[in-house]
This record gives sequence, C-alpha cells and structure tokens, in this order.
Amino acid sequence: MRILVVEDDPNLKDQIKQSLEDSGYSVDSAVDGEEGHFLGDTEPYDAVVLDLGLPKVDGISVLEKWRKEKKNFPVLILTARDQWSDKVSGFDAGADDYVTKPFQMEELLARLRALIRRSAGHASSDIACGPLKIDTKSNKVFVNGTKLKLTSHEYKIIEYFLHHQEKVITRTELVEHIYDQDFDRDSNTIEVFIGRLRKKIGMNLIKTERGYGYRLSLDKE
Amino acid sequence: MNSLAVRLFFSATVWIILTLLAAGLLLSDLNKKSNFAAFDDRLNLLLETLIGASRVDSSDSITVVSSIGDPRFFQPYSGWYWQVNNGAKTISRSRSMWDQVFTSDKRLIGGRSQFIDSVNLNNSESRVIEKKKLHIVERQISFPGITNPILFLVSGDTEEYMQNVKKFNDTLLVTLVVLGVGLMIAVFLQVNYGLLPLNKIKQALFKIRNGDKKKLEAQYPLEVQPLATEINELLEHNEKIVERAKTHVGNLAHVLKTPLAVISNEISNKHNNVLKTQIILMQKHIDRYLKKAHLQALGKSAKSKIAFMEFIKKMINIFNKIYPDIKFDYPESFKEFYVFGSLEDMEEVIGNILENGCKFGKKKIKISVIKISDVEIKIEISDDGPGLPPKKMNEVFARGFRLDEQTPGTGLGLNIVKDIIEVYKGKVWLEKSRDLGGLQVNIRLPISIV
Repeated sequence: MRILVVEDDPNLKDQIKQSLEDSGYSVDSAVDGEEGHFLGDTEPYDAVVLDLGLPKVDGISVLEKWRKEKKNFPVLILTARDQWSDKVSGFDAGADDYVTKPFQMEELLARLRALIRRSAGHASSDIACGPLKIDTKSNKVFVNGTKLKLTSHEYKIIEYFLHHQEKVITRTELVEHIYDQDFDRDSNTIEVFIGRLRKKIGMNLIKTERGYGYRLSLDKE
Repeated sequence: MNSLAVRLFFSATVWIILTLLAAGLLLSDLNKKSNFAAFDDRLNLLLETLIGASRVDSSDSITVVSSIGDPRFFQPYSGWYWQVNNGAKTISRSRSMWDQVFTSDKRLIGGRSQFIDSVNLNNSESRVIEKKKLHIVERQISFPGITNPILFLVSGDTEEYMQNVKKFNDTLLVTLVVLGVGLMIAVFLQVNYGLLPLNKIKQALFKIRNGDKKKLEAQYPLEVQPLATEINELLEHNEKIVERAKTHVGNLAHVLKTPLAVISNEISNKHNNVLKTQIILMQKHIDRYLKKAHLQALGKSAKSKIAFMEFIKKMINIFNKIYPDIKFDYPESFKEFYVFGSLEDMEEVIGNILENGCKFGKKKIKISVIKISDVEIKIEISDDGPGLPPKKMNEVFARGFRLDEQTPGTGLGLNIVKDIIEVYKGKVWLEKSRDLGGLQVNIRLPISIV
C-alpha cells in the first residue's frame, strides 16, 4: 500500500512517514500544497494524509482539485482547528476522515487502515481469502491460523492482493503500490517475490494471468 | 413623541389648526364689518328718505307726507322705527312703534309687555317677546322758520344683518373644517411618502437580521444615502473583524498544535511522564483558549437562514463516512424548517452531539424532530451507548469535564453546545433514551417563520 503524506512541518512529516513505513506502507511525502497536488495527480496512491494548513496551496484547495480530477483515493485530513466548521469544509471538499492535531500516532494509523479497508470494500480489519488471512492492525499474515514470516516487501504485496481479491493486478501496478517514489524500482524482482510468497503460502492462491499479471483467487486453475 | 411620523404630523396639524383658526376669525370679522356697513348705509338711506318726505307745516310742526317704502315700518314692534323730534317733543313716529317712544338718550320706552303672543299662551317663556337689538341712525336738520333743529331718527333690527353674518360664519366653519381635514390627510400622506425611504431601511434591516439579505441594497434619497452607506460599511467591517479574528485564532492553533504533535509523538516511545503530562496540559490550555475565543465570537459571525433538515442530512453524510458502522435513523420526510444563525455554530452543535453519539454508541443513532409551535422546534438525538447516570447529566455541561478520559476529545463539546444553544435562546438537556437505551440529547430551538 502506497501512501502520500502532505505536511508542511518537516518534523511531523518525518514522524508520520516513519510510523507509516514501520507499519508496512510505502510512503511519499510533500511539504507544500503544490508538490502534494502534483504527486497525488501523477502517482497512484492507496490513501493520502493531507494537512489542511499548507503553504502555497492550502489543503482544501488541493483536495478539491484532486476530486475534480476524479482522483478517488481516500483522504485523511489533519487539522489543527478543532471546530466542526473546519472539518465540515474538509468533508465538503471530499475528505473521508479527519484527525485533529495534536494526535496519537496510533489513532492516525488506525484511521488510515480503516480508510484503506473501506475504500477496498472490506468492513473488518481482518481480511481473508480462503485459508489466507491478514490482520491489518498487527501486520500479520496467517495461513490456516499459522503465522507466516514475511519480509516487508512480501507483506506489502500480499496485503495489496488481499485488498484487491479477484482483480487482475499488473506488475506495474504492484510496483507502483509497494515502492515509494525514491525506490529503485525493478519489476523483475516482483516475480521473485511472487514465487517466494507462493512457496510460503503453500498453495497456489496467486494465479498468473498470462500477458496481464496476477490475480488472488480461490478458483481452481 | 418618539416617532418621526407622529412628530411631523403633530406639528403640521397644530400649525394647520392655528392658521385656519386665525383665517376664520379674520374672515368672519371682515364679513361682519362689511355687513354692518351695508346695514348702516341702508338705514342712512332710509333716514334721508324720511327727511325728504317731511314737510314744514308751520312753526314747530312737521308732517311726514308720504310713507317710506319698507312695510316693516307699519308692522308693530318690528324694530324698524322712525321718529321725528323737536327738542324733547316727539312730532311724529312710525306706526310700527305702536305705543313706544325713543327718549332723548335713545332708550325705547313704553308698551311691549302688553303685546302677548297668542299662539303659545301656556308657554311662559314665549310670552315675553324677545328684546330686539336695534341700530339707530339720527340726523339733526335745521328747517327755515323753526328755531330748534329737528332730530330725525331711524332704527333697524340688527337681526337682519346678523342672520347674514351667522349664515356666512356657518358656511365658513364648514369650509374651514373640510379644508383642515383635507390638509391633515395631505400631511399624513406627505409624511408617509417622505418617510418611505426610512421605512424601507427599517424593513431592509429586519431582513438583514432575519438573514434574507446581507446589506442595504437599494438606492436611497440624498439625505438617507449616507446613513445606508455607513450601515453597510459597518456590517462589512464587523464581518471582516470577526473573520480576521477567526483566521488569527486558526493560525495560532495551527502553529501551536503542529509542534505539539511533533513533541508528543517524539516522546510517545519514551517513558517520561512529566513531559507527557505537561504536553497534555498544554494541549488542554490551547484547546480551552481556542474554544473561549470561539465562544466570544459567538453570535457575531455572519448569519443566514439555514435549511435545517438539509443541514442535518449533510452532517449525517459526513458521519456516515467517519463511522460507517453506525446507522443513522432520521425523519427524512420532515418538512423543512429554517433556523436563523451562523452555519458554523450549527455545525459545532450538531457535530459535537453526533460525534459523542458515534464515539459512545454501538450501532444506531436516532434523530427525531418535533415541531412544538410555529416558532420553536425540538430535536432529539439518541444513541444506543451506555448512557449516563442521571447525576452526571448536568455535569457534562460544565467546562472541561470529560467522562471518559480514554476517548479522545476535549471534554468541552457539550459545554460549547450549551453555550451556543443559549445564545440562540434555545435549551439543551439530557435524558435517558427510551428507544435506544443510551443517552438522548434534547434541543429546543427557535426557528424562523418562512
């Protein structure tokens, strides 16, 4: 899952980025509205953490622009103003949830997780596909109740698959959603990760759709 | 006398009455004088005719050879008399004098009491024939052969011209009263027409108060335009000040809370309780003063007519996003009503109440709207949470009180709700929800008449 964090305070931005990365997300960040808008416009994010008080272009305007451009990723707004009018204007612009500053990082993470889940159409924090199950709260993956030992990249891939079950996912899409912007991307490594994941899961849940990409499904081939 | 219209009308009325009264008196007096002059002229003419009809018979004897025209000189006690005197001796007099005679000092003596009206014998009042007011003209003429000058005297009943005067006065009175009433109506119309722009301002201000308009829009007459311009500028200035203050407060919140978030995240992994409590304290203080600033701006923000049902629907949509697991039950078909106020205030009220409900509720929040009268509405918002013991139901309105320290929030939510509702002259109270078992927040709020 790839997240964009737009926050003008460099310290807070780094803290959020760090916490999100620790929770298994790939994170890009921007420090002003202009850069933030550009990134959201060009990269496929799974969710955005957007501060409302931004230099150059304020958060509400950035959000409105995205929504006008039909960018539908869930957006969590950070606001220092505790009044409902500010939150309402955020929601009017197209926000999906809010966190008021100062906040506990756990709260931000929980809200973000829920947002990503909901936007993929899952109600519970546990997402399953047959014997395969993921607990997005603790970043743990189980097969038939046994916990799998996964590297962070493997986790990111299986999490993305579980959020988008039965959907054909191209290699490029996977690359875009598991690596952040600065990462040296190599789509060949994806094949290696998929191979390792299939071995660790022990059954062929990740199907190859020849010429297209992959699909997580319980179907027999 | 606090009304301009009454002032203008009253002063004009006084002036009209005084002027008409003076004009009436003057005209009446002039008319009386001219009537009197005509009457006097006639008597003099009659006197001259009398003199002309007199012939000197011998020394001390004069005969009036022909009668003088008017038949009233033959009608007893008509008041129309003539008399010719030689010194104290009356030589001749008109038939109408009957048994009376003018003395030398022009008093009329004799008869009269014997002349009784035979028609109304029983009416003692009418027995006495009314005394006539006579006007007398006289002239002394010296005739050849007569030693003393002869005194000719003619009298007439003033009633004749007084009747004319009275008729004229009656007509004059009626005319002046009609004129006065007409003038007053004209003044009334003029005052109303003249004050029309002020009334327009009054109505426009009412509309501004009621949220239908933002400023005085129409063009006003030269004299009133500066006032309208000034009012508009004042309204604008007010709004600007509140907006600016709000921006400052918002900026302050931003610049303080962001570093606070950084610090609190930085130490969250370390076990430094002193720092943690201090940060929480700072946070609380900032929140408290922000809320305070917000409260002081209460009622000063731009107001408008809020379509309340639509507004509630919008708030519910927002909460559907934040709390997708909670179902909102609200009377969608309830007839729209309007609350005159600032949207921000209403967002604060409904936002805080719904947020509390969502935090503590499990699955469902029910919103009911009950129309109490044409000017008041009751809104009930209940949840299926644990509710509150009756003892605590008042405490939650106290500043800074928070029942559940684990759930994030400032604890000022309901207190703010109460302050806002009270500014709008409404009421807010809590009770146990009968339907859902949790807490029910009740609000009574005045509404605008559409």
